[in-house]
This record gives sequence, C-alpha cells and structure tokens, in this order.
Amino acid sequence: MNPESTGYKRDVIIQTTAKLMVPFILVFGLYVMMGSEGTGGGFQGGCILAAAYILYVTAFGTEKGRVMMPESWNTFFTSLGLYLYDGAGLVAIILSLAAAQFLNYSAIWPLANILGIAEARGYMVAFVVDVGIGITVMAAFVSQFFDLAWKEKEEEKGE
Amino acid sequence: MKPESLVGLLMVLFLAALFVYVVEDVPAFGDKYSPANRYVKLFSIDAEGLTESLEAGKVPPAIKNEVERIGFNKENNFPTLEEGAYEIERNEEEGGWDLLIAEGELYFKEPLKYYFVKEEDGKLTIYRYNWPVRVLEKAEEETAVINTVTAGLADYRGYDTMFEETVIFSGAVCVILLMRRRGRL
Amino acid sequence: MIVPIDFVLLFFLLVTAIAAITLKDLFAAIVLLGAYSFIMANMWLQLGASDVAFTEAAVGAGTSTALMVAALSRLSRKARWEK
Repeated sequence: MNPESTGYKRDVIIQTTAKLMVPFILVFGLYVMMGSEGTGGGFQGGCILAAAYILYVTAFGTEKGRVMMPESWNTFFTSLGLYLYDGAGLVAIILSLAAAQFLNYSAIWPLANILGIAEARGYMVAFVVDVGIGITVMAAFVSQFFDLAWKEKEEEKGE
Repeated sequence: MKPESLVGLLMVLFLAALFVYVVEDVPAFGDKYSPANRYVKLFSIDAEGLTESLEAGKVPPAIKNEVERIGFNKENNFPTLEEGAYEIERNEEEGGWDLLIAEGELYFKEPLKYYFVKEEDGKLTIYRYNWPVRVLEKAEEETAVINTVTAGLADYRGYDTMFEETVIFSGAVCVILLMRRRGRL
Repeated sequence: MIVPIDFVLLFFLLVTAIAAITLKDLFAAIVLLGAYSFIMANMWLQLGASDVAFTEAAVGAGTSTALMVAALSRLSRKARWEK
C-alpha cells in the first residue's frame, strides 16, 4: 500500500480529479459546519474537512501534504478549537459579571446591544461554538492521519 | 473454524438480531404520540366537580396533593402548584388543559408547560410533559438558534459537547505521543 | 417499525459484518468496514435521524476508513494468523 514499496508512481488521473474535488469538498465542509440551517454541526463539518485533506494527501503524497498543513499549524489548530469553545463559555461569565453560569450564552446580550445584533446568542452558538468544534475535529483527525501515515524517511536521514 | 472466530461470529449474529429488534421497535418517524417524546401519564381521577374549577383557572386540591405525593414537590426541587405559581391554558387540539409554571430562571421568565390534564368520558388523566417538548417549543425563542438539533447539542447540552470535544483532542494528543519517536515529539 | 427497504439494508449489513471479520486480506476488511458504515448511515436515515446519519457517514465511511488505511500502510497486507 505504501507508495515506495509497490512502485506506485503518482497517477496523473488521480491528481487531476483530486485537484478538482478538494476545493468543493472544503466548501461543503464549511457549509456543514457553519450556520445551522442544514443538518450537521461542527463535528460533521470538521470530519468532512479532514476527509478533503486526506484525499489531497492520498493524491499528492505526504510531503506535499505536510507542506500544505505543517505540524506547527496542526497542533495550533487542535487547541484553537478548544480555546474558542471554552472561551465563548468564559465570555458569558465575564460579560455578565459572574451572574450567568459558565456556558450560558444568553449573558452576551450587553455585547449584542453594543454590536446591534438581535439574536446574538444564536449566531454565537451557530458560528463561534460550532466552528470551534469543527477546527478541533479537523486538526485532530489530520494529525492522527499524519502520525499514522508518516513514513520515517527523514528518520534515516536524521539519525 | 477456530473457537475465537466462532465467538466473533456469534457476537455479530447476536448484535444483528438485537439491531433488527430495535429497528422494528422504534415508532415511525414523526409519530406525535410515540411514548417517549410527548408526555408521560401520571395518574387519573374521576372528574365529578373538578372540570369547573379547571375552567375557572384554579387547580383543585385533589390534583395538587396527588401530584405532590407522587414526587413533584419541594424536596425534589420541582416547582409546586401553589396558588399564584401556575397558569392554566385550554389546549384545544388535544382536548385538555396545559398547566404552565414559570421557573425562576434568570433569563427565561416565560412560563413553561409542565402538566397536561386530559378529560376523557368523565375521567381526568394527568400527564407530565417531557423534556423534548420543552426543547422543541422553547428552543427558538430561548437560544435563537435556527436548528433545534444544534441548539440541543451546543447550547442546552453544551457541557456534554465540550467534553466530547476534549475526548477528540485527547485522542489526537495520545496518537501524537504514541506514534512519534522520543526525539521528534 | 420495519419498512420493506429495511430487509435489504439489514441483510447487507449482516453480510458486510460477517465478511469483514472472516476475511484474511486486511485492506478488503477495511473497505468492507467503510461499506458497513455507509449502510449504517442509510439505516439511520431510514429511521429518521438525519444528523446521526450525517455523522455516521462523515466519520464512519470518511475518516475512520482513511485512518485505518493509514495504519495499514505500516502493516503488511495479509493478516498473520498464528497457525
């Protein structure tokens, strides 16, 4: 299965189809993750983004994949999602001066009045929280895929 | 056929049988009166004088004591049917009355459907509304999230999703720790 | 309640499950698990839970199959049964 041992060269057909499909899958993943009209929330959107990335890696190989999403970015995004989610909960406490519970988003109505958004709570949940979940899920699956599929080539070069 | 793969096969067949039973047992989608999501029957009493007092908007003591005796009382921190604490609304389509109680929540002051009194051929049966009814009816105004599933997942049960996300995060961290050599963590 | 399509789906579900655990070739087993997740997604859809179906499709067929294939790249193709 691994490319080197089976003499499997990069196939042009797979590369062109992947080049064609990856952007649309990414947009679909974002659509699923963002907002909440359709089915699916942060978790499904993150999975679809991870699947799009994995398609890119299977078509173009792990080196180019690693260039596309370097390790530092990957670990950063994994924790960014959690910060977004828990940060939104903390904002609810800070804004309501400890009157509201931890994840009680209705405490952001003072901020909403300033920004003039009527259902700020709905947008908060639909965007900030879901995107937080999506980012963590995507980065988690991508980093797992990479740790499993990463060939220790530069391991021989390194040691 | 080695014994362990035989056990595996038996497990698969057992789970398949269980799954077929579950699929057969699930009520049809959208069935309003499927037991779990509408309301739970508490008790029923004969309604010789009670319907008039319900019409007048007052819960008769017979119902109040019975409800409290069952367990919806102060000790299990349920709001009780005191004099001013509830409202009665006529529920036309199901032929009965809804008892609404305003829980003292900080941000949602509107009264909430708690009990449903149904009147059938001379008997009054009391039902207790279930949690899904509250989410379905109150999600739009309380959380202003268009999709009730997302409201349920991210807002009503935000704690669960937070720890679910932490599970995924720790999964990734474990793979990082296990798969990478010591030098290259 | 059982809808006629259920019989087809449940039958294929059982076939893929049994095939997945009895096959020697790991790669075929992984592909069968992907098919299993796909049929499960259809089952969830038929039962009316569209969000769960979406999750099952995205996670089961999409991501876990890819992760298993990535794990397979470290193993040899044939499962080594100890004779």
